[in-house]
Amino acid sequence: MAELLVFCHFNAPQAQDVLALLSHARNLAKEADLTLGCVYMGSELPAEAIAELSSYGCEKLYFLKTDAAIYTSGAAAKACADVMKNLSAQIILFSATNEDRVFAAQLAAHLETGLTADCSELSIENGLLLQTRPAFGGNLFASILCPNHRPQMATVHPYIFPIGEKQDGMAEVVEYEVNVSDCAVLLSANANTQKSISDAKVVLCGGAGLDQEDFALLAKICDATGAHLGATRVAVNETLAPYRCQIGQTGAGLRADLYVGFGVSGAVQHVAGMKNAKRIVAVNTDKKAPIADICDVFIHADAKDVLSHLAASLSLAN
Amino acid sequence: MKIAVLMKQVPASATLGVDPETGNLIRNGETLINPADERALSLALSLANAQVSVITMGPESAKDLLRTAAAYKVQDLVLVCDRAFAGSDSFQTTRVLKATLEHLGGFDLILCGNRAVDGETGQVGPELSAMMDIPFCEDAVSIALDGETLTVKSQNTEGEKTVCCPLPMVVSTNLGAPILNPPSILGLRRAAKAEFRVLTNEELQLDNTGLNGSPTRVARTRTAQVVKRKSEKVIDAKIGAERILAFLSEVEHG
Repeated sequence: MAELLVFCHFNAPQAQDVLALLSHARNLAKEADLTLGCVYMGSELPAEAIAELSSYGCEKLYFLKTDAAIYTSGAAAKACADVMKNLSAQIILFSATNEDRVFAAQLAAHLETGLTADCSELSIENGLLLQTRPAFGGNLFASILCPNHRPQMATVHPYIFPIGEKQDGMAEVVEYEVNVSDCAVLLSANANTQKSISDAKVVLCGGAGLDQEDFALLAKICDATGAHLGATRVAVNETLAPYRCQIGQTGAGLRADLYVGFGVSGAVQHVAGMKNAKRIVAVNTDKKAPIADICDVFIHADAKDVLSHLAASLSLAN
Repeated sequence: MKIAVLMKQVPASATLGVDPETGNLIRNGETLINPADERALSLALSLANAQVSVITMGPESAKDLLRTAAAYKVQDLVLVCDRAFAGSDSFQTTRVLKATLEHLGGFDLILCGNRAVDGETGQVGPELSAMMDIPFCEDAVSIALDGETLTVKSQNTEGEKTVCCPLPMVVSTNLGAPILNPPSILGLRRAAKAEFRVLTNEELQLDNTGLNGSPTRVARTRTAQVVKRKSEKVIDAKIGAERILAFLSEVEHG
C-alpha cells in the first residue's frame, strides 16, 4: 500500500508542529490517494501519543524503538534507512527543526532520492508532490519536483500549516527494534529554554540604522518590557546582535502581535520574515524606506530619539 | 592532520534583495564567499598542525574564492569544475564532492558551512557524511582535537550540545563560529602567486551527473510578494515613543 509518511521528532512523539504538518499531510494523502502514516524513532511511545497522532489522521505508526542518544550523527539515519527501504513510501515529510533537517538529509542520501528543505507550500500536481521553498534569503520562491526518484522527501517550515480538526480512528502500530551503534558520544546537551523569536508576541527589532549603543539600549528596553530582541541580517553580520535574534532567515516567520523596527529599511527578505505580525510599527528617518509601505504606523523620527524617550518612560538608565 | 574545507562562491544577489519596481532579484554580477564557509575555514585554521585543503565546486569564476583562501595557511586549493556538473541539486553536488574527497584522499576532517545563502538547503554536509559513511556533527561553534578524537561544541537556536567523535568525520559550522580574521600582508602576497588544482569529470569519472542526474528539479520560480498596509504617520519622536508604549500595554492586557 503506497504511503505518505510524516516523521515525528526524535524521542518526542507529541509535538504541535508535527500535528500541524500531519494535518496538511492528511489533505495531501487524500489527493494523492496514499495511506497516511507516521514514523517515530525513540525509546518510548506512550499511548497518548498514538491516540493524538491517530486523531489527526495517522493510520499506521512505525515505531523504530531505539536507545540511541544522538539523532544526527548519522548512525540513527542509517538504521532508519534500512527500515524505510522495505516500506513503499511515496512521500516522506519532516517538520524542519535543525535536527530533522540534518536527519532527513542523511536519510535521503541513503535512500538515494531527492530532498527539498524548508518548504513553505506543499501541494499535489499531476500526482507529484510540488514542493515550494524560499531561496536567496527569502527573496525568491522555487517550486520543486522529484519526478523519478522515490520517496519524494521534504522538510517543512514548522507551523506553516494550521492544526486541523480531530477525527476518529486508531493507528496500527508496527514496532521495530532498532539497534543503533554510534561511535559519537554525547557529552552534554541543553535545549534552549529561551523563547524562540518565532513564538514571541512582541518583537523590537534593530536594523542597520542603529549602532552598538542603540542596540544595547534596545536590549534593555526588551528586558524591561518582556519583548524579544530582533535584528536584521545586516545587524547580525556586523555582530550588533546575536544570530538567534535574526529575522528574515529562510521563512522564519514571526507570528507576533507587535513588531517595531528601529532603523530598519525593510528589505524584502526581512519583510518576508515579519510581514505576518498583527501590528507593524517602523521608526525611520527615511520616509521612502520600503518598510513605510507595509507598516501600520510609521514614525518619521530618529530611532535614537525614540529609544531615548522609551528608556526614559521606562525609567531605564540611558 | 589533513582537513578539507568545502567552500562555495555565491551570488551577491542572495543578499541584495528584490527590486521593488521590477519585482526581480537584484543582480550586480558580484559574488562573495558563503559566510558560513568562511567560518569553516576559520575553524580549520584554529587547529594546530592542520594541513588544510580548500575545495570549491563551481564555475571558473570560483577561482576568485580560491585566491581569497590562498591568503591563509592553506596547503591545497582545488576547483572542481565541469560542464557535466551544471545544474546539480544537493544530491548530485554531494556526489561530486565525495568523489573529489576520495580522489584527493586521506582527510581526517571535512568542514563546511551549514548552509549557503543562495540555496539554503543545508543538505550537503549531512548527505556527504551519509554517503561517505562517516559521523557528522552540525552547527559547530568550536572544535578541539585530542589525539584521534574531535570534541565539537554545537550551538543553534534550539539549544547546544557537546559531542565527542573519532575521526574521520564531517562537521558543519554556522554563523556562531568565529569569523575569519583578515589576511596578513604576507598572506595577500602569497595569494597573488598561488596556484590552483582543477579537477574535472575526467579525473572523477562520474556518470549521470548534473541536471539530468539530479533527483530534484525546479519547476518554476517567483519573487517574494509584499503586501502593503496603509500607515498612520507620526513625526514626533516623543509621541512615537508614547504610541509604542501604548501598543505594548495593549498586547499585555489584550
